[in-house]
Amino acid sequence: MNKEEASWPAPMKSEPSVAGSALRQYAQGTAETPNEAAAYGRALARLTRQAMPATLDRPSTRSRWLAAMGATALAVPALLWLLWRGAPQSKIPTDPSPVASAPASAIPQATQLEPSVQLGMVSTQLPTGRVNLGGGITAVLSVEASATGRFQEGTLDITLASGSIELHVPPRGIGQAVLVTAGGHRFTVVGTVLTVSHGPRRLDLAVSEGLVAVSKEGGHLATVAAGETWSLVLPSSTPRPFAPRVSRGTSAKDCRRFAADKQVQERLLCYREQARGRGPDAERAQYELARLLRDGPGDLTAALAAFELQRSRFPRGDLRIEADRAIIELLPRLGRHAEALAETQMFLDEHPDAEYRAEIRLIRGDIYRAIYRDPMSAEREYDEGVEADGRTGDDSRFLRALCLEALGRMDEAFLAYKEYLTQAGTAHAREAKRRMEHFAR
Amino acid sequence: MTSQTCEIGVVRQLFDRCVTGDEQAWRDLHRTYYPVACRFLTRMGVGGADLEDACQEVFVQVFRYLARFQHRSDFQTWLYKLCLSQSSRVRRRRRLHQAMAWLVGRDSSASTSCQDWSEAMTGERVGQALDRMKPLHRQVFVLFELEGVGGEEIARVLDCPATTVRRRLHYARLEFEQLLGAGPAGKRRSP
Repeated sequence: MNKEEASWPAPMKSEPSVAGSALRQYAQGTAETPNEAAAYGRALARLTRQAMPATLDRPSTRSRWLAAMGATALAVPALLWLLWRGAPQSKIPTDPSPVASAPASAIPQATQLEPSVQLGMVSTQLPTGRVNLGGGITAVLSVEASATGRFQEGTLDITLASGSIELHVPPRGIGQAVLVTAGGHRFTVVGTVLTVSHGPRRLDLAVSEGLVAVSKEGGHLATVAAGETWSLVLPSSTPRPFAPRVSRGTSAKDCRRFAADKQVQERLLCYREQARGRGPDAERAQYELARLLRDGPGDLTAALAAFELQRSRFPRGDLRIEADRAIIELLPRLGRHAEALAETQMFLDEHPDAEYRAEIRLIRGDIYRAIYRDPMSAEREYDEGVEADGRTGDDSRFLRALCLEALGRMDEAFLAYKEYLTQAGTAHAREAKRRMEHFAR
Repeated sequence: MTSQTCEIGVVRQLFDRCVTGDEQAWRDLHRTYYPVACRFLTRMGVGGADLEDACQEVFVQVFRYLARFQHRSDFQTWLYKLCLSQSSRVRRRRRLHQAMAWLVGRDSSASTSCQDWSEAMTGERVGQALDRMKPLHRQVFVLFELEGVGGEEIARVLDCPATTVRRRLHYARLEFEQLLGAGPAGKRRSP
């Protein structure tokens, strides 16, 4: 922590004042969030509903406001004039105005300034020069360019055989990608300005705005940001299979060697390199990377992000349940208790037979008891774990009794403590005895 | 390579996948940041049906403009900015509704007074105090005291110097204590 950061006052929440106490309670009370999954579904539905042309060609809010103000400015004098003149007279023509009755083709359209191509599911040859592809997407093909395009399931797929193409793509919704395929490589675009050139021996990409992902055969190669370029010299004969970066001399064995030497940074780099690949090895490397971030530098936020990344990249991987469990353990440690509760609930729903269920219940109980001061919910959670073996069951039984006591259910609490003490080698025996003696007094 | 660099790298990977249209990445992004946005909007006084709308609007903007996000600042900083903009919009709309209600003779601003200092009413009293704070003070106060955002980052969220944040925080604390009726911090201790 530098001097500047240190000079900020301590949060009021941490003070034992009335305001501090009130803020703590308020913070706990407002930590819960509405159903995230449902909200995601609604947001997705809205984005899908406002699919490309309607949304992207819609005027901005400022334009709409200006139009509304202009209409109001015209309407008010007209209204005053009508009031001044009295009732409308029969001289006012009742026929539709000439503009309204004109054929639709007579109305000038902005899109007529440049040729448009209606793309469908069948590949269509694109003309050279500037062309409007619909949905606000404009392409500029060089004179020697040869390219085809097609629309399929909301995705615009352009194949560039030769020459160069410059694309202007407004921001896109989910599942509405623009793909450019050239020289066996794929450029995925979401809202950007870019140029792809496909020469006989060379492939070039220049990005003016936004980000473009470059991939080949499903493997991610590079992400090119605004102002950056990406080039590749194409082989003259039969194309050599692409060698992913993971195979650049690093293997699981190498990473373990670093592990043995306790070279944390090297191990991180090694696992990161491996995790860029695909398949079970990449999943394991990502998992090890996340574990290392958690246990090595102790950067819990980075570790959590790494576990979440593992889960999203390998949703059906062998280590999926391990990642879920690690995320559940990390969230409370980061103070993200509401998310921890949501995450644990999802885990319990998804894995009705998981062996970690009692541990998860214990974590939930602890959050309800210690953070939300809700002994009733906590007792329910602990009650689910009392049958578990080992320390988890031990803690669950004792803490359940504690919650019953906090709820004022003294008879049940007494019985719970008594039952707890009948078992040998319990971890909280002394505290349980002390509380039972308190009952006796 | 620092651990912070690792974190930035991991988060950036997630964004890159979002930009390429990976729906699972969008799902993860939403799952991670939706609670943050919702919680912050609640504390900025957006509640009821407005909360869901405002949260949705924030994420629709994220979905639309993430491709233009240049990583010059932390994503959460940008998210807070979007939330502040939404909360201002909701506040303006609410004022308009109140004015309309006043014009048609129905005063909707009548609030129930709460004299009871019981635990159950604490949240309500804090909420009322926050509602009565000056908007600029409230922004700084909520970010610093409730969201745990550092002073320097608040300066980036609000696009103002750190000294301004410090001054606003000082006055915001005094205002909050006054509105809460709890007196200056440290003088009145809880039992």
